[in-house]
Amino acid sequence: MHPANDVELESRTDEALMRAYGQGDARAFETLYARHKGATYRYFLRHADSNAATADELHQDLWMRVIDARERYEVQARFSTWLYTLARHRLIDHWRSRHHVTLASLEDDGILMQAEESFAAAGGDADDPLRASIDDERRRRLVAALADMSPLQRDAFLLHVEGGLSLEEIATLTATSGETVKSRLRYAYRRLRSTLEDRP
Amino acid sequence: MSVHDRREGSSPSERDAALERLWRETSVEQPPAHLDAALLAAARESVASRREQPAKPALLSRRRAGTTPWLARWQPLAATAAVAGLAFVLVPTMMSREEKLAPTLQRPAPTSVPAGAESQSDGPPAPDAISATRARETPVPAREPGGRRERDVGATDRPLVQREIPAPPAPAAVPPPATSTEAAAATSTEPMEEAPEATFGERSDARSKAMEAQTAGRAAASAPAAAAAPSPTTRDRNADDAMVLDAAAWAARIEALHASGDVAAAERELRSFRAADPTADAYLSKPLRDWARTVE
Repeated sequence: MHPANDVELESRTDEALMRAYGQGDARAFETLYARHKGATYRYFLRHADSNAATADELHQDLWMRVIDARERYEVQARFSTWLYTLARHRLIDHWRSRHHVTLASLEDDGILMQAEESFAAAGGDADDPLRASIDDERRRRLVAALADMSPLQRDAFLLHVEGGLSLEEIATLTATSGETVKSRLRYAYRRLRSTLEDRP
Repeated sequence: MSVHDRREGSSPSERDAALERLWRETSVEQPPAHLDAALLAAARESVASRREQPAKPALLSRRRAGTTPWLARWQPLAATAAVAGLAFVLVPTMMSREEKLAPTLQRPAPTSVPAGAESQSDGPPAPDAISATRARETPVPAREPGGRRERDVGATDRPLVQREIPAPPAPAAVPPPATSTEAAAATSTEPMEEAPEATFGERSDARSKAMEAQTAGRAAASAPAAAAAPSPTTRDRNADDAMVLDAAAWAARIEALHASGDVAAAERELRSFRAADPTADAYLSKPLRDWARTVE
C-alpha cells in the first residue's frame, strides 16, 4: 500500500481514514485528527466550563483511546458517532471522578424539565436577534449561556453543532429517543436566543 | 473541510441555522499545539511499534511453516523405519527362542504318559506347561526310586492328596530283573508318574485282572500309608518316606496277586521286591509273610 498524498487523504471519508490508520498509515490519522480535533476539544472545553486544563486532559485521553483502538475499529456507524461516544464516556468518567455532576444527574430528565420550565418562564420566541450585528459581547454571552445550560441540553447542542451529529445519531449515542433529543435541542436553542435577545 | 462546514444547514430551522453559524464564529478554540504534537507522535509511534511487532510473529510463523511440514513429512517414515527395525531384531530372537522351546513342547508323548499328562501336552503350550517343560529340562539329580520326580514336577498340577498317593510299583522305581516285557518296561527311563496306565495296558488279561485286584488292595494299603504320611502340605518329605510308601505299595501288590490266585506272579514280584529291599518280607501281612517264607 503506497502512501497517499494529502489531496487524496482529504478526499477520504472519516471511516476510510480510520481504516487506513488501522492498517498502519499514520498520515491518515493526521488528516483525521486535523478534521476533528477542534470540535472534540471544544466539546470538552464547553462541558468543563471553559477550563482549558481539563479540556486538554480529556482531549488527550480521547484521542489516545482512538489510537489504541485503531486496530479494533469496525465501521458500524459514522466515525463521528463512534468518536463522540468515546468522548461522552470520557466526560462522564471525568464528572464521576470529580463528583461534580454525577451520571445520574447527567441522565436525569428532571434537570432537563427544570431547565425547560425556567426557559418557558423566560418568555417565548421573539424576533430573531441573530440578524442583528454580532459583536464580541454577544459571543461572550453565548458561551456563558451554554455554560448555564443543563448538561443534557448542552451535550445535545454540542454533539449537534460541534460534533455534526444528526438527531438520530445523538439519540443513539445518548440512548434516548429522537423526540427527547429534539426537545433538548429546542430548549438549548431557545436559551441561546433568549441570551442574545437579553442585551444589556 | 471541517465538521462545521459539512453539517451546515442541518438545523431544524433557519433561525437555528443562524444561531449555529453564530456559534461557529464564536467557538473557535483549538487544542494547544504541544497537545497536537504529542498525540500525532503517539499515533506514529503506535504504528511503528506495531510494524516491529508483526515482524516477530511473521518470523515465527515462517519458522513454524518451515518446521511443521518437515516433521509432517518425515515423521511417518521415521516411525515406519523404527517399527521395521524392531521387528527385524525381535522376530528372529523370538523365533530362535521358540525353536529352543519347540522340541520340548512338541516332543512326542511317551507311551507311558498318563492321560492327565497327555492332556497337558495337547494344544498350545500354556505358561504352566512351559514351566513344567523347563522343569523337566532342568538337570535333576539321579532319579530316586519311588517317584521322587513326581513330587518335583507335577506337584503344582495335581491335588496334593493325589500326589501323595504312591505310584504303582513301576519298574523304574525298583528295577526288577529284566526277564519279561514288564521288566523291559521297568528299565525304561520314563518318569514313574508317566508310566502306570500305559504299562498296565500292555499287560495280559490275567495280569490286568491281577492289577485290578491290586488297585483295590493298593487303595486299602495306601490309605493308611497316606494317613500315616506327614501333612500333604509338607512337600519336602525325604526319600526314606517315599521308599516306605513304595515298599508298602509293592507289598500290597504282592498281596493282591496272591489273593487273586496268581501265585507265580506273586512269587516273581516278591523276589523282585526282595532284590530291591532285603527287608521286603517285613512289609507283608502276617499270613502272606508265612507264605513268603516258602518262596525262595
